[in-house]
Amino acid sequence: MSAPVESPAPAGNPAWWEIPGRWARWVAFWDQEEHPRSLGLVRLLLGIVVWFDLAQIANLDLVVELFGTAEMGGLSDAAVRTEVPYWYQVFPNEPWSAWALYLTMLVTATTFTIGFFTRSSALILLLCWAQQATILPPSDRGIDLMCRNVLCLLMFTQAGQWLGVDGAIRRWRTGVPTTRIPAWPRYLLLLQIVVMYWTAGVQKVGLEWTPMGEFSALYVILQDPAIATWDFSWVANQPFYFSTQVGTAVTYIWQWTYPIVLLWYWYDFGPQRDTWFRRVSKRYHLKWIYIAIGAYFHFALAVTLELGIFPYAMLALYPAFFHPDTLLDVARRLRLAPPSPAAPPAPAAPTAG
Amino acid sequence: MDPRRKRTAVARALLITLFLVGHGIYALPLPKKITLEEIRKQDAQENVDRWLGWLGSVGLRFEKPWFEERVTTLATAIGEGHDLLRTPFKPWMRLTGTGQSWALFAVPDRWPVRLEIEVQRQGSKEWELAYRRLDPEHAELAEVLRYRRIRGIYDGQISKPRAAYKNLTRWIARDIFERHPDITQVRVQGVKTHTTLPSEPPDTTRETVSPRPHRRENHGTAKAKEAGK
Repeated sequence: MSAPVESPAPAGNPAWWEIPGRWARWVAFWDQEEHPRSLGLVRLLLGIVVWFDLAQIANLDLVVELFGTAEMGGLSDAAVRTEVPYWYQVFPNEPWSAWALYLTMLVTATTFTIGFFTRSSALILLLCWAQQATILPPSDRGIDLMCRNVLCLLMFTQAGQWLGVDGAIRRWRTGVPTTRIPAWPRYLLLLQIVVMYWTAGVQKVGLEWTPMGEFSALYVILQDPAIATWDFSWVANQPFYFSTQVGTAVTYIWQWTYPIVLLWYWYDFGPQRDTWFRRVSKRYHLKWIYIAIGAYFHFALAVTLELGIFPYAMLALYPAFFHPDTLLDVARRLRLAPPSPAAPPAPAAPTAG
Repeated sequence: MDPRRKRTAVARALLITLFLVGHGIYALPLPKKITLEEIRKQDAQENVDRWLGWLGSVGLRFEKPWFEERVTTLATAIGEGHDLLRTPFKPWMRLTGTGQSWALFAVPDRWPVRLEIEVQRQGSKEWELAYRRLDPEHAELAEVLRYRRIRGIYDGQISKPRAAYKNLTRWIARDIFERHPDITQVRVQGVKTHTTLPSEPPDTTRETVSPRPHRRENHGTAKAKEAGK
């Protein structure tokens, strides 16, 4: 999928790979800029997911239980550990301290979502979230770690410049919208997703993921009552069992080979060298097939397993796969954005994505 | 490029490099430290047997105790080396609660545990099932117990109860005592079953794990305190 570059790099600037010297190229690569659309969308979607998760805690009346210590009715032993979490070193062991931590997270999740003081909101939310994880470690899941990693990147970005109050204020003050922000947080976010999928794949040492274990991993996981959405004992019958075996094999191969997505990004946005694999990849849209498998995988998890916000938070990161101009192109095709101006597009300076 | 922007770009590239090194070390998919006791647990043993069987099928035959000892020694050495590499980055990772640990369903659990809550009512010695995971007929506290953060506590600790699990069972009991004045005892426990594959003979083994009984008299509930006034 190619799109006209909406806000190309300033004319006359060479592409990063044309710059002599490895270190200079490295510096130039991380110095690229792009429209804030993709990161703004990640901020908005992830913020909504986090906000709903926090709202669910209050709805279930679990604030003191999850943020407090056993002394005040919570589930944590934090107050009697040798290393007391910073929060309870500063604040007293009272229910209001648990509420204060929770409300700080809720307020900053709200301001982060609407893109108001986006960077400070991300920083405070991150630090408070880390405290909750320290207070009650078993309540902290893999997706919490992922969300904190993403916040750690987004606290350096201007993700609030698109669909955010920060962007509206700036536009009101200067009269022009922000069209270029540093692109490196999106590249690192993309890398983070790749690392997560790949390391999750290579650490799958249970033989159930392999032919020696009949590719039975998904079947076995579905039989775990702690995480299954329903009783899946009927999956033992054919053709359902076979479908779980196919699912296991696809998941395993897909995760092991996921770093190839980076190669396809290199093909799309790096130096233009023609190879047969590049041609095949482009012709059959392999990059998008891999990304679509990931989205399907998360939808399937959302339906079959009760993993809380995991599938939704992961899907919230998917706009990072799209270059901002590609997103605009998609929006135009769906008639969600005005058509591009009639003027001929500027020569497309390749931008890494 | 103007000198100020160039300096910013260089500083940024340096910080990103440092960030990549730190997270790269954390992301290395290396084995974690494991003890002989852990590898000799029921669920780990099934995997050891399968690995020995598979290695045997390609001509590599090992004595099981020798294999277990070598695996634990090697994994522990690698785990300790990895830990050493992580040391300089630990303060930052701890402060921000960030890291790279993505062993998602690395070894599917063939011995899953189903949470159950049983209660005894006043004047009865019979245990009555109040909650069983995925059982709509017995769904006391079901909405809370399915919430991911609460599930994480019992799913992760029920086989080896630690403080959070013990506090959770106490909290469950207190909640039930408050809402049901006729209940005198609450017992929270897990029931471990064996997941067999369709190609294997079924195994109906059921083992109760980590039962935590609670008596009303040991729980000073708000309502009980109020009633006592």
